[in-house]
Amino acid sequence: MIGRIHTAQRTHGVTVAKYLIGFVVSVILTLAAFIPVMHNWVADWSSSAKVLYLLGLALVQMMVQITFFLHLTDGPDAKYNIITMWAAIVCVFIIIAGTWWVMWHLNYQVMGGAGRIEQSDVIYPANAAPAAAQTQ
Amino acid sequence: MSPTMIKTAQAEGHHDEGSTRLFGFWIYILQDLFLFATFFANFAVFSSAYSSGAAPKEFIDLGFVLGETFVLLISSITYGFAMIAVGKNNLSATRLWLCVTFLLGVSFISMELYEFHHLFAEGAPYLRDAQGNIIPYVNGIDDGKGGGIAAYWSAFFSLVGLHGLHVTAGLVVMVCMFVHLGMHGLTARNKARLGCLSLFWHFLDIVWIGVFTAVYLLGAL
Repeated sequence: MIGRIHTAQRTHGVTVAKYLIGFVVSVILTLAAFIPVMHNWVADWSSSAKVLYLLGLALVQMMVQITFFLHLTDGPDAKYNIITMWAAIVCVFIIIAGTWWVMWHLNYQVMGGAGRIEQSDVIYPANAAPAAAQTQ
Repeated sequence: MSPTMIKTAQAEGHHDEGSTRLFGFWIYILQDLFLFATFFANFAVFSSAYSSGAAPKEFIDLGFVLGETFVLLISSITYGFAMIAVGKNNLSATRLWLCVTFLLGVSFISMELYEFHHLFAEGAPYLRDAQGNIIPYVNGIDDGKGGGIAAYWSAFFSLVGLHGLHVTAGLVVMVCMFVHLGMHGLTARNKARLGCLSLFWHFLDIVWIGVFTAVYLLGAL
């Protein structure tokens, strides 16, 4: 009996409106990401601005879907759902950003002329000298 | 049962079997996220390693990917409608929305398979010589089928294919749910199963946001 009432209360928060809001916002964010790239509106932007714009939209849409579709804050385990989610997000960040960071440095330091870096300023310090002089 | 008693039950952190299963499944989803994270990291590292093979920009059809994205997004909300029907104990509406979700999932997988087939038919993943011809050797071994595959395309098929495999697994579980619902209807256990599948299905849509951004949009820039 307790379980049944409990279940009824938990599903009470799941409404059509909540799903529809999440859906409409997701559609808008998806189009905001695709249309500028498809029509080349972002051609004049710097590449870091394009990457930040697209990754930002993706993160916002992920948060929207987590909020409106996953219903993590309903039910008795709400606190643990959120705690474990943040722990996982920190791990995911370490896995992706850490891998990229380590591999970029390995490519830069170890590959020398054979990798993507044509001339390393570690091997050819003369290349780095003009830039260093400018910053001083 | 009085409202006070319900409040007391909640204050004591009462766990029914369904919510414990759901929390356990959530932990599984999070560790599955780590698997995806390693594949995303792999893709990020090899994101420009197409060597003498073709660059992704020539082969990415953003209109097609947008179609795939909408199919998956709509399947996410139709599954949501199925869960609302579950909350109302409406078996026939649950079946109907599950059916719609299943068909959309099948469309998504079909589109992805078509895309993969198209990429191989165009020779996108293979390494090429200076004239643009596909190199027929892999590590000195001629397998008679064609050349080596650039690291970029290897990472591409691993990441997109991993997501596709998860969607396929979700479809298999959905078929199992049709059988469960047919045998027992909307029992507490079946509701818990549908709740777990709901988490899984929405999770796949969230991962797809990462895939279409990292692989397709950033690849097409």
